[in-house]
Amino acid sequence: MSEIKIYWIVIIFYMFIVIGIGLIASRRTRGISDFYLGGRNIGPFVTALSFIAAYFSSVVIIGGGGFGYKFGMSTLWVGAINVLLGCTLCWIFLGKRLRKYTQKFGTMTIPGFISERFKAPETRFFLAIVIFIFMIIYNVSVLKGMGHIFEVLMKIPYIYGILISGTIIILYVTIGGYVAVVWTSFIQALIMIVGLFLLTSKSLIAVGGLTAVNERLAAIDPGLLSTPGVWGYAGLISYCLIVSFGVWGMPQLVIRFYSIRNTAVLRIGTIVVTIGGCLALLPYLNGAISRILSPNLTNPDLAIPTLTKLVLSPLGAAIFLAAVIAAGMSTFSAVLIIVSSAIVRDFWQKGLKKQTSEKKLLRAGRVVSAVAGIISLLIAFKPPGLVLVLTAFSWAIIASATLWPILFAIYWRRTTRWGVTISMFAGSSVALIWMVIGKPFGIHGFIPGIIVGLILIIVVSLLTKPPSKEITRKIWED
Amino acid sequence: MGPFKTPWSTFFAWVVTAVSIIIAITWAFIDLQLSKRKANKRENKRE
Repeated sequence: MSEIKIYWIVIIFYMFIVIGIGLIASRRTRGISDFYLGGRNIGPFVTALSFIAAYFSSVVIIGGGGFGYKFGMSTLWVGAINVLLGCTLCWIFLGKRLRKYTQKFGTMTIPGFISERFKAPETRFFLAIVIFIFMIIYNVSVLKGMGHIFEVLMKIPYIYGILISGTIIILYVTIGGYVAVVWTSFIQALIMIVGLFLLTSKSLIAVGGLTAVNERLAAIDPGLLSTPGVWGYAGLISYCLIVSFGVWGMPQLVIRFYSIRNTAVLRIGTIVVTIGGCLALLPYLNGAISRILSPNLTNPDLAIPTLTKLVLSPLGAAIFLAAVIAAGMSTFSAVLIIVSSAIVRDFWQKGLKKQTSEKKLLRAGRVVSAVAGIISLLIAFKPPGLVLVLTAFSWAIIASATLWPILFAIYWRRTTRWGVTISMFAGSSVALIWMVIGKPFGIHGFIPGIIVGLILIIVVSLLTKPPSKEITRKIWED
Repeated sequence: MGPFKTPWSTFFAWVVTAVSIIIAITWAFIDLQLSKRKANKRENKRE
């Protein structure tokens, strides 16, 4: 059987599984709370592994491999900080309190929680618009990644690649809502773990073990082995912060804490997410191994696809291809649900105060998910230059707007409405302007964005009238 | 040089990953004990 045929069989089998999950999940989706939060009844394993699948997209697997190829073993630090800051500490510091307080306020979304917590309706509108625009742009980058993987590994045109993956995702998200997203993400995380471990073990065998990897990398360039090596501290630290601390403000990830069954199961979830998150190190390690086996690649992003073809059998490569596509699909689907909730729940129902039946809301949720997916698909067909520039920092803008409001909402009772409003507006604007003017001093826009946001949330809160006792009592009393 | 001929500065990335797992398990254990203590206190108060 030809290599391409094996790829197709594995991919079609995998697509049937995710659509099947969507159909089963649609039976459990009766109202808007089910569609956006799965009725707040998701277990620890599904929550933790779906968090990992949404966190590490195909961009991380392919792009991370590219970083490993270019900068060597120091990139392992990115994976390590992803595990410590992006998984373990994120779950410890945000999980329990967000689960508890969002239930107290009866909110389903990030804009909803911040708006209700601070009695600040303007934040709901602002965040809904930021999420709509920049999440769709982020989704374009995820789709693009998947399209290129189909192109390189399966030899099918880019357009067909994004059409196949995009259509399947829109289908299962629209019919199954959040339950379909978390369950498909759970399966996708398992496929990612199997795929990445398979590739890593075969690559290590091909090179002759970890000691041989280090010896051969040092022979190419000693800078590929040490930290920060050829990357330098500025690049390494700022990148680690963006992709690890930025997670604390990403709605498609933080929403997992809203939907987990109760605070007790968060304990198991924290252990599972930490152990599962260790897969974050593998793309970087494989990228470095690829540098040894194929030292003359012109594009570092080809490091992982090339390594796959070199060390895996056709069936193994097909499983790994499914893992990469799974990583992209899980991220794309998680973002679709968030965009839909921002428009239907925050902008339309709560923001414009539209009274409507549960049935109509559910229908609106499904329609908006589909429309958001189709918009992303249309843009991804031929992304304009501006969109390509924006994809690089959509994550930073969203995180600059939401990170401090979320943290301060659950940890500092003196935080005020205007402290939060001004901080989120200024933080995201600074991040955007910083990137548009070409990243002065080589610093990513996320860093000035969060520094300005942090200063403003503290200073403005201290200068404005403290929040009413009614608000602080509601959140801080058991 | 650390194990597998890895420079210590890079090897510590593996150590940080292992420490994360230890932190997660320790936090889960402490949180469980604190919850139990809280529940006991509430029970005693009711009695």
